[in-house]
Amino acid sequence: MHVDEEQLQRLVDDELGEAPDDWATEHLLHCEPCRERVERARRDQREIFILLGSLDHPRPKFDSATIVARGRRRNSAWIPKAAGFVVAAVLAGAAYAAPGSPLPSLAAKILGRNQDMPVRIPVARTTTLPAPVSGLTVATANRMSIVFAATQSDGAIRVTLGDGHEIELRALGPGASFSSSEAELTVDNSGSSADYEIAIPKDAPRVEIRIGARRVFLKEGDRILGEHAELNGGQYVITFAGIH
Amino acid sequence: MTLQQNSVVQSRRVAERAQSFDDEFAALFKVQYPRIYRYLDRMSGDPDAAEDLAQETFVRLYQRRSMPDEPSAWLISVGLNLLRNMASSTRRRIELLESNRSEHDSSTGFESAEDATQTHETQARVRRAIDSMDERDKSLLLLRADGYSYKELAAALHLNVASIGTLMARAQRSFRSIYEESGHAR
Repeated sequence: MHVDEEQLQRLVDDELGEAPDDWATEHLLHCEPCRERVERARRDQREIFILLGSLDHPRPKFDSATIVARGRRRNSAWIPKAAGFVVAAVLAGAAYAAPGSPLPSLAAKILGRNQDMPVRIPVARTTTLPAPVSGLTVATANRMSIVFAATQSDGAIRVTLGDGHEIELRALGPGASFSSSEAELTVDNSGSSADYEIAIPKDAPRVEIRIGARRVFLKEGDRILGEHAELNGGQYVITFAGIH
Repeated sequence: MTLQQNSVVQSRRVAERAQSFDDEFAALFKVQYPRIYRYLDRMSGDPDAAEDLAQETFVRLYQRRSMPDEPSAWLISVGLNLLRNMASSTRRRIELLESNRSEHDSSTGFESAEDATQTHETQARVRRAIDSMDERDKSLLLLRADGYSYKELAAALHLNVASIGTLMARAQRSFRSIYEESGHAR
C-alpha cells in the first residue's frame, strides 16, 4: 500500500496532520516509488507557482490610515444627512401647522385646490437614506432574529443555507439600512423595494426572519418552517407582496 | 465608586478597546493587504479592480469594529464575494488586458522581440488556464501559491480541511491540463 493522493499532497505542502499521517512519513522512508512521486509532485507544483507569478501586477502603495479614514467617514456619513432631514422636516411641519400660516393656502393654490375643501394632512413618512453599506455580516448567536421593519410592495428575500460561520445579509438595491445587536439584525426597509439575500450557516441553531411582527421563516436545527417561503433552486424565496 | 467615576472608567475602557482594535487592524493590514490584493489581482486579471476590492474588503473589516475569529479567512471570503459582485469585471478585465499589453510592449526594452513574445504567450496561457478553471480550484491554487495554510483555505472557501490535499492535487492537474492544451493548440 502506498500513500494516497491526500497524503501525497500533504507531504508536498508540509501539511501532514497527526496520527493518520505518521504512517505516510514512515512509509516514505522505505518506499522509493512514493519518494519519487512526492519529489515529482513538488517539482510540478513549484513550476505552476512560478507560472502563476507571471500574472502579478505591481502592487499599489497603500496605508491603513487611508482605509481607517474611509471607514470612519462612511460610518458617520449618514448622521448629518439624517439630522438635516429631521430638522428640515420638523421646521416644515411647524411652519405648515402654525396658526395663520400662509403655507396651507399657498399649497392649495399650487395644487389648484379650493381652500374650503378639506386639506389632506401630509402623512409623516420617513425617507430612507441610501444605506451606507449594501449589507453586513454578523456572528451567529444561539438564537438569532432578522427583522425587516416593514413590508414592501415589491422585492423578495432569498435565503440560502451554507457552510459559512456567519450570517450574511445583502440588500440588492437602495433604501435599506442595517443595525445589529447580539441576537438581532434589523433591516430598516421602509419605502425600499430592494431584493435581499441572506446566507445562514447550516449549523446555526436557531434563526428566524420576521417582517414586522410576522415570522416568515424559521430554521431550528435542521428543521425549516415558513409558510411564506418557497423552495426554489436551493433557495427559500419569500416575496414581500405575499405578506400582508 | 461614584456614578461619575464609573462613567469615566467605562469611557476609558471603550477608548482603550477602540485603540486596541485600531492597532490590531493596522498590524493585520500590513501583513494581509498585499496578500489580498495579489489574490484578487490574480483572480480577476484587473489590478485596478483588485485594488478597489482589496480596499473595500479592509473598509468592511474596519467598520466591523471587531476582529473575526480567523481574520485571513474572513478577508478572503469577503474579498471573493466582492469580486463576484463586481458586475463589470469581465468587461474591465478585457479592456485592461489590452492596455497592459501595450504598456508591456513599451516596457520590454531589455528583452529581445522573441523573448517578449514568449513572455506574452506564457502570460496569456496562464491567464486563459486560470479563467477556465472553476472558482474553487483557482482560489485553492492561487491562495496556496501565496502560502495560505490548509486550515485557512478550508475556512475561507468553506471546505473540509481533511480533503484540501486531494482538492489541491486536482486543481493543479486541471491547471496543467488546460495550460498544456492551450500550448498545443497554437
